[in-house]
Amino acid sequence: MMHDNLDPHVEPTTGAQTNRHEEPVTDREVPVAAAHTPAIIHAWLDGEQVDDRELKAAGAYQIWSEVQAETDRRRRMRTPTPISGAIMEAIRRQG
Amino acid sequence: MPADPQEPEVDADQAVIDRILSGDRDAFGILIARYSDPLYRHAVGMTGSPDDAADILQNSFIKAYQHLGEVRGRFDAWVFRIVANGCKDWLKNIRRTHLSYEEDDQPSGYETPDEELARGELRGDLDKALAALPASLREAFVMKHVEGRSYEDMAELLETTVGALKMRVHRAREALQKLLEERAA
Repeated sequence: MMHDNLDPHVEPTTGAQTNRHEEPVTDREVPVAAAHTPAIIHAWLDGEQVDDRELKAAGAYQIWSEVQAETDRRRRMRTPTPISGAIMEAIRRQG
Repeated sequence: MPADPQEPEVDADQAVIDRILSGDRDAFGILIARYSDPLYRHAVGMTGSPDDAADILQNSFIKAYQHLGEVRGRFDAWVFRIVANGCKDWLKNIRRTHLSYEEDDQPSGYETPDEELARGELRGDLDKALAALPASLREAFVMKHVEGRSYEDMAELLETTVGALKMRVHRAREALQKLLEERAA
């Protein structure tokens, strides 16, 4: 039976990383405080069709429309070109 | 011979992997070009730091290259798990109060200077709010909203259920909203 090495100073091996059934990080942390996000906001953020007037009247619409605009921008982020070059350079050095 | 446009992606990746394993090292650049952008977004979203994200991405692709012969099934899912584990290891080692955006000198990857400017105050607040989330909620939010993945794709990559992920994303939104409302107050 395999156990993950939880020592943060030990670099896990790739074999272990790729083979272990990595639990999605569980909620070990303290519970977080939560606001009430209306169901229509969740539905809209999940890409479902919602009534536009009802949506804009919902609480927290303004916050979420701004967050949506920001996450849309982040979704267009590209890998900085030097990173790809550095990876290929490191691979070539390995011979 | 031109690639069959109907060829499943997994077969297309496997053909590239076969070339690399046969000695065509440069073909690895095809896999980097194919998958680095969503993986970079994941790493930036999880770490909040373009510098650290770049390091994680670089190390992950090098590990992927070294262990390429171990790929079974989808290369993109396999390399995603290497990057995701790299991010989780980073999170274990860092105390979340030390976001390093201000110190970063890497290009951020945004398309235009206008976009850099447009990020404004919300960017900082969103970064701080994301950093305050438990890692599992942050991961789910980033995959859904920053990477734009479907719940089905997320479930496959994280080896869990769509229902569990919907719940995680909803919890992440409610926690983020609370944090953003507090900052705005």
